[in-house]
Amino acid sequence: MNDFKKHTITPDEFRSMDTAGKIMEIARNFEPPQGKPADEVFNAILQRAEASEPVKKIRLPRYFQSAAAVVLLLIGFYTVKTVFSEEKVKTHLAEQRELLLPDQSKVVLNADSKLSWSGKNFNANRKLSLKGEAFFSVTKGKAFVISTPNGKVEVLGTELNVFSRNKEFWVSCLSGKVKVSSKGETQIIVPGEKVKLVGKQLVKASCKDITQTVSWKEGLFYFEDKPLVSIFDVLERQFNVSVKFNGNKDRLITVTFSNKNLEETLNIICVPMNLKYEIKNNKISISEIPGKS
Amino acid sequence: MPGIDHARFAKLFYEMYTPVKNYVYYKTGDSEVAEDIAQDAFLRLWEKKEEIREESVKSLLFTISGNLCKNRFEHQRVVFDFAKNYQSGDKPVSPEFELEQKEFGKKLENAIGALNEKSRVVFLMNRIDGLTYNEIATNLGLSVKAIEKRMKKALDELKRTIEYKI
Repeated sequence: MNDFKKHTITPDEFRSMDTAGKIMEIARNFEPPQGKPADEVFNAILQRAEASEPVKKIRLPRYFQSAAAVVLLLIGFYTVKTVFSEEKVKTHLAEQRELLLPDQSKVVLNADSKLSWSGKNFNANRKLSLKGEAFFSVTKGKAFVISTPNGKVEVLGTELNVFSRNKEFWVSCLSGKVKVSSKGETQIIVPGEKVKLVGKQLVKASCKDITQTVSWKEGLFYFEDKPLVSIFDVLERQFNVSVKFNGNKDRLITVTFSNKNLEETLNIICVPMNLKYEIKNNKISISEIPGKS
Repeated sequence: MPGIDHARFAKLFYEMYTPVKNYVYYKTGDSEVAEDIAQDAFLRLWEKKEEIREESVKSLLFTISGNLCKNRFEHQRVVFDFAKNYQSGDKPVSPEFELEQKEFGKKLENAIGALNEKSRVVFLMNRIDGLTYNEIATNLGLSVKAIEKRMKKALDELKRTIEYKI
């Protein structure tokens, strides 16, 4: 077919041809419209085929048919429920949960977080929305998109951590490649990198130890130069307590603690920062020790 | 054992998608419809994968596409606008010659649109897709003799239209 196309003709040859010859010659240079790439069409076909798997015909005894009708009705209800319903998982304060998505991707949801996805055909349409923080280990396949109120994260088979609470938004990448977009900006990060929303800009930062961004899964929390208030937010979430703090909230702290023992953690935070604390039931009040600075 | 597997289907798709799509385009003169119908035809084939016999699969594709065309609408006179590539081989042709070819091409295009559907499809499958009479006959489930006849009819008709216009 290629040789057929490459045939060359000179003006003289062309002019000496009769109409029939010219017709045959010119017509072979016609090209029909290209249209969509074949790959795209092929994938569309397989997807549509998957969506409408043919039903096998099985002959059943008559009494069976009415029983089958009832079963089908139940299945119908179930399908309608799964097809149209949104799957939702929520963690409470002081709770972490591990879950397996329909595509075998693994998610660890940190405390006080919410993850939802469409129950319909998840493998072909991997879209989730997240509020809070979660670690993802994504299996290879179609694009995996995590939407958060602060921005969008796209991945193709990888491990990453997404944090989106209030105005704070950051994503760290442990393996593979991750595309993060927020407020019209887009950044691609590779393993060891972290991207953070600062004002309206996505800023890339490389971490000394990227695994520290997901150490919360093991109940370990690591913070470097973080304002005190955000540490107290973490305490509230991890221990299900409320923290009241009178003092300078913007002081920065670098600290590592675990979510196993509240008092120990309070000591780790308060002693070096020259703070004192009081625990009453689930309420903690923290204040600066007067006199010293 | 009838039936085709995924790998065989993929191979068949990449081999036959363009010819099938073009076939529908030659019939209808509508590239979007052609894309739709070609996609549908492959989908139907895939849904019947257990019953398909390898030898007849190509003509089956064309038959399905042809039927899908019939279901959609009747086609009146169709208008073609082919992309034209007069750059033969690596070297571009002179502008005068290109213009001459283009003018002829325009006339030919119009004449093709006025052809009856059967001859037009055969003519374009042979000219554009470079299929032999034998291949066209297999695809459309016709005899080689019938293809020859349609090809001759197409050429006569085109010649008449073009010479009349000149």
